[in-house]
Amino acid sequence: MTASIRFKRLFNSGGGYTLFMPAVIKTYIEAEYNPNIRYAIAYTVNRFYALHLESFVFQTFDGMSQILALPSCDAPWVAGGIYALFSTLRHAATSSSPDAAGIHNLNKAQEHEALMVTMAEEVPQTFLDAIKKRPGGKQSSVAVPIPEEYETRRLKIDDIVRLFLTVIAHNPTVQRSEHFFKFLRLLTPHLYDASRPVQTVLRGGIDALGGILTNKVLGKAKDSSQSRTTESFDFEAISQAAPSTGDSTRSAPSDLSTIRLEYLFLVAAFTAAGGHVGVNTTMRIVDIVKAVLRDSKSSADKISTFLADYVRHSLRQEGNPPGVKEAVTLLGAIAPLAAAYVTTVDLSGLYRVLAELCANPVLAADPAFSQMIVCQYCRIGLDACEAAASQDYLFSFPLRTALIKLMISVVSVAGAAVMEEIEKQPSSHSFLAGVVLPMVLTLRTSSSSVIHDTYKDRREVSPRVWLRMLSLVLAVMKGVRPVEHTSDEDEASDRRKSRDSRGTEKSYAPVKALAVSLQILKVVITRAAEDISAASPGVWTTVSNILKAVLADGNATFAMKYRDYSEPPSPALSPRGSKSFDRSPVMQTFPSSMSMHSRRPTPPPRMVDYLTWSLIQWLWLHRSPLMVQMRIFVQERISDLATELRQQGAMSISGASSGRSRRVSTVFSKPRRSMLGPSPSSSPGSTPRNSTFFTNSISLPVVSDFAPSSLSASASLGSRQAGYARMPSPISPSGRTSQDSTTLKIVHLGPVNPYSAMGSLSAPQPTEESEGLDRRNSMRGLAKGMSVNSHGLAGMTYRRIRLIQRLMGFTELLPMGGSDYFSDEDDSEVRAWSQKVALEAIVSETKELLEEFRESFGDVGDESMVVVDSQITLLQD
Amino acid sequence: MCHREDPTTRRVALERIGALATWRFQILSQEVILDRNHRRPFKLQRPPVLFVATDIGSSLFIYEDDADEYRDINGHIIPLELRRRLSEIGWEQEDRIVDYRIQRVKTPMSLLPTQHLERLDGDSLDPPPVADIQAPSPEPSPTKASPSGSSLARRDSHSSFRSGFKRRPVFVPALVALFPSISTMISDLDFTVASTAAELVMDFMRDDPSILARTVFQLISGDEQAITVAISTLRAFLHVRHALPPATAHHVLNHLTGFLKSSVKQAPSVHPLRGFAYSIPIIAKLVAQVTKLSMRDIRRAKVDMLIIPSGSLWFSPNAPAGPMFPRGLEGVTFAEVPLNLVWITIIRSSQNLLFLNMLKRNPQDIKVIRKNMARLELPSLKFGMALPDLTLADMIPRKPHVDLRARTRTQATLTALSLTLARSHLLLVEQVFQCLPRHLNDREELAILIDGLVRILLAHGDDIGIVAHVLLGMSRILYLSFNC
Repeated sequence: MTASIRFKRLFNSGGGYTLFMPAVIKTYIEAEYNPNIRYAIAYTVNRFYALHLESFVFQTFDGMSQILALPSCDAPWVAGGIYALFSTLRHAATSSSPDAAGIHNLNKAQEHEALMVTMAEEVPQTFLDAIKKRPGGKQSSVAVPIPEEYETRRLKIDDIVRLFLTVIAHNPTVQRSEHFFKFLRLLTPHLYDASRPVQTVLRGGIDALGGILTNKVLGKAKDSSQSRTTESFDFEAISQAAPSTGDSTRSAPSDLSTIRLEYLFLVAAFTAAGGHVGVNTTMRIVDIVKAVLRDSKSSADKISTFLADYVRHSLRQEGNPPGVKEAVTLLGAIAPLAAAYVTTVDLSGLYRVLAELCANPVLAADPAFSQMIVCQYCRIGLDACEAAASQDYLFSFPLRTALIKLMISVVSVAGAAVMEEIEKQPSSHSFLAGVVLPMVLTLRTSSSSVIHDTYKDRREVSPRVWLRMLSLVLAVMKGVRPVEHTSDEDEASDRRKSRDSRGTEKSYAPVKALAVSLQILKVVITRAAEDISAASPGVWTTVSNILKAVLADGNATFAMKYRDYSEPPSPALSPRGSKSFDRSPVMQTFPSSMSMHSRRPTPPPRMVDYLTWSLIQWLWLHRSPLMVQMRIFVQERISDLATELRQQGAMSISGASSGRSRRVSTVFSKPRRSMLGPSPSSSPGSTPRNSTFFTNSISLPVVSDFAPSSLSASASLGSRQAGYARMPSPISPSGRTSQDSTTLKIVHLGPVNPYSAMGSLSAPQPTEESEGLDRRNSMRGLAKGMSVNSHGLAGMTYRRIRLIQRLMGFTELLPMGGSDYFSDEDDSEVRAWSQKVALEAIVSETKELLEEFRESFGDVGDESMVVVDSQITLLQD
Repeated sequence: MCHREDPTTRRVALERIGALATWRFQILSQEVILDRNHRRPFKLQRPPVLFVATDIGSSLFIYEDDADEYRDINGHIIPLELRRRLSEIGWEQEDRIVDYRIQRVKTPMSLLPTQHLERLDGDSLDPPPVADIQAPSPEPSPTKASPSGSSLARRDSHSSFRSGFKRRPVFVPALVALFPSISTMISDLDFTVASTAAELVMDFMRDDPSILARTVFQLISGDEQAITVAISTLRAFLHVRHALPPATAHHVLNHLTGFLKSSVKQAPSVHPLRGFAYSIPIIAKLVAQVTKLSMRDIRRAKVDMLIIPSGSLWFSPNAPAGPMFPRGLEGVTFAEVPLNLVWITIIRSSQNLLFLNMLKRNPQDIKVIRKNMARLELPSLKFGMALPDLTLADMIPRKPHVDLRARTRTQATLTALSLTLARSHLLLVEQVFQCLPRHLNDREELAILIDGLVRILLAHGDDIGIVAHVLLGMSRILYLSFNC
């Protein structure tokens, strides 16, 4: 009782410590390298504490918490200093401690006076006894001896924690407790290392505070205090007395969500220091996170960092790895949260942490854990990505890369389950490009995993995953997989659909998915051909059959269609001389000229054509098992083209610039070099092989300066350029012209009737895919109906055709369309793609495809939309 | 002047002056033939002292009660406050008897005038009159027998002459003018010379301070050179003995305050502030030694504006106008520290110490300073700006950044000045805390004092002495506020 009286008095006078303790602490902290000043201050603080006990501590912390809340304050450093100072209170100041300042015991007389006065006031009788003249003699005697000085008391560190907790719990909604929260958070790392009781108190406090913050709707009731009144009666008294003394700003109501955020940070700091929180607390934390998110959208990024930190520190502690059970429990608690807020909160941090966790062998080996990861987090992430894809912001969706990382890391332990999750998603083209393609690009193959992995079972899993991936892609190509949400449950897809119906008459979504999945297929085969072959050698036949079926309509006829309308470009359009004319002049005016429609440009290839030739180029330039299966298919296309070209040459349409024989007689004085086309045999290394039939399928002469590599190298990925700008400058013609006519061209003629040759292969097609027949047919129709608008892609198709022709020994190449552009690269050297080059080429091609698709989402004919969003990055690391 | 190389010569000269001095009372008792035209021999014209001395305190030794007397049975000193309260409720310690022998023991015999001692020996059986605190001592003060016509004569009203005959000392002005030289010889390299000079000066300080200090006070109104000589002479006096005879202390103090008062009014010299700055440290020292000095005397002498500190560095606008009370830095060149700043720092530091001494003697004087305490301001080259309030942002600890620029001399001087003022202020504040009533209910007042401490700590947190004193002061205030 006396204690409370004393405290009241003290607070009525208004806490003198707050007046000067900040300056003292500033001095203490700044005297980092002057131990004598620190000793002096520590001694004084010891005396202060002896004098005023907890009220001193409270007032000091109160003052300091305000300072820590200032933005320009180096808070962790300051908090460390404060902790250092107050941890000296654990020990009594002894005479042995250094006293360079010479202040020890200097105030003893004053202390004694003060004590005497106190005693005279509180127990006057004793005091009067002390000086009263005894009847016996002159000597007076004292009944109760007045102590020399204030008794030295020790401060236990866990009492500091209790002080904090009590102050905060007293009224969590005022600014004071917000500051105290921050202060406690900063002190937590130090406190945690102090002793075990401190850890216990901290944990209990965090639990209790979590309860308060969740229970309290408006923070009026003080339901928490009764739980701890027994253990910290003093502090209650302090904090009750405090608000009356503090100025109004201290007790000004604070934003509840700010308080909650501070609480979350406290939890993060606690776990970062190595603390564990119980299951109940975790539930409360989740509740609080929800509450914060509900209240303020602006704190989403803070929450995302908190979640990542929290999970990371809870589950990844050095030397003290958590049990599987804890991990599963924690993640299970957070999962609903993630599911609810995956779209509004950037959870990529959390997912990265999860990916790191999967590297933990103990956790990864546990089926429950991987089950949790896959069935909860991967599904949530994939759902979110799909939703994002349907709204066209997948590529700026922050979760995407983190999710991919997580899936890749978890695929080694639960590959099948992951694939299952992926397969559950409708594979729209952007989903495929944004999620599956990057995943395929980074997924480990057996050759790379041998180096990195120490666990055997992972190597076992990988081929199966690749197979699943392959089958997924094939399913997309076959059209058996939904590319969109067909049901109306998703509003986003509804919106999307309506927009599609507005913009284009029919949705080309399956075609787009087809295009991207073809790219994915290329990647898969490029990277994991060995794995797949090893796992299932017979798969290639199936693959090639599907490819043939899907691309059955792809050919080069598009190039012939508009031949009639194409005119020779007017020389007046060319500002340059005739020599440079055949390089690029038309393209200079091409995109902007309004008169373009009168002169037909290069006939744009249909999408199916584009895909076909793109695939063929890849087949020819990069070695793959598919080569054998697809050779006939390719030859068929090429020979058809050759026939076509010959026919056209015979028809000799006047004014056409297509035929080689006609070219000489056109306005161009010089026969185009490019038309002659250097033979592959011009490369000395490859000459002997070219003579054999299978040469091209095995050793792959490849255009080194050809478009894909130059695209990836020179073209800035984000901004689209006109096609001519991407082209490397032509090599000086003088070196090549001699080879034009002298070399004997070996023409590989395909079988006249393709079906006779591949009859056995194509036979199973209808039966195999009968169930998806109409879908496929519709897709084939769509693929035929959709044309490639991008000039880059269109030009690429031409070049690919020409390249293939050259590789197969045809001399009569497809002309580069009516307006002869892209004609100079032919003489560049042809070289096989390495795996890396192949992947780069595929990636850059996919980028262009995506741009193309993006354009077609909007106004199809909008030529002015040259500025393309530079956000497209397939792989961001 | 008489600095000869040969120490013996100097010593012999000093001895001769001493002989002349001891004979000064006897000269007039010689049989002489009177000249009609010069009725009084040795009455020579002397340069006047240009100011009127004040009358603060007493020139006599007065025994003062010692606080150490009040102890409880454990030997602890009972605080004054408690004592007062005890006396209020009638718990006076009636058993205290005045022990004259203790008083006699505590009387500094060697500081009293020689005639005084003779008398003290004579009637030692009677209760000595010094025991009575209230009444002025009836002791004769022969030293007051200054020559008539001097401006000092006014003071003589105090002293009553019990002895029947009047002894007039004869010490011609030519000899009086030697005292500045003699005082410098106190610190002579030759110790025989030094001790002889010290002895000579000490004799005069006991018996005849007016003769001793006469030259000083003639000089002090003069030009810069003269002031320097005068002040160093006074300083030499101070160094003869750590406690000066009460007569000398009283004499010098009153003359100095008189000098300051006159400078306020007429501004005789070019730099009145210089004289102020030079003389106030001496006043601060003497305040502790002049007996029966009270705030009432100071008030009556109208010098409180000069010697009471306020905490602020410059004078407040309500101080009298004039060059003695600068309101701030004027016309400064930033190349070096302006003299005004140095002087005002010296003045303020000395005032702090002066008041510290007064508080030590009489804690009641605290109420004088409590009224007009202002926030502490440390010397700086900034001027024209109001002192900014301390904010929380000032309290943020900052990592000590290494100052790559070499500290300029100006900065070093400023730091030294600031430290000086801070130290004196700390001492004063500590004492103030001790003297404040325990039941302090004026937060504002406390805040000003603590603000001063905090400012000092913020400015000089790297100086361990400062830190120690600040901490002591802070602890003291806690013992105070413990009960409020």
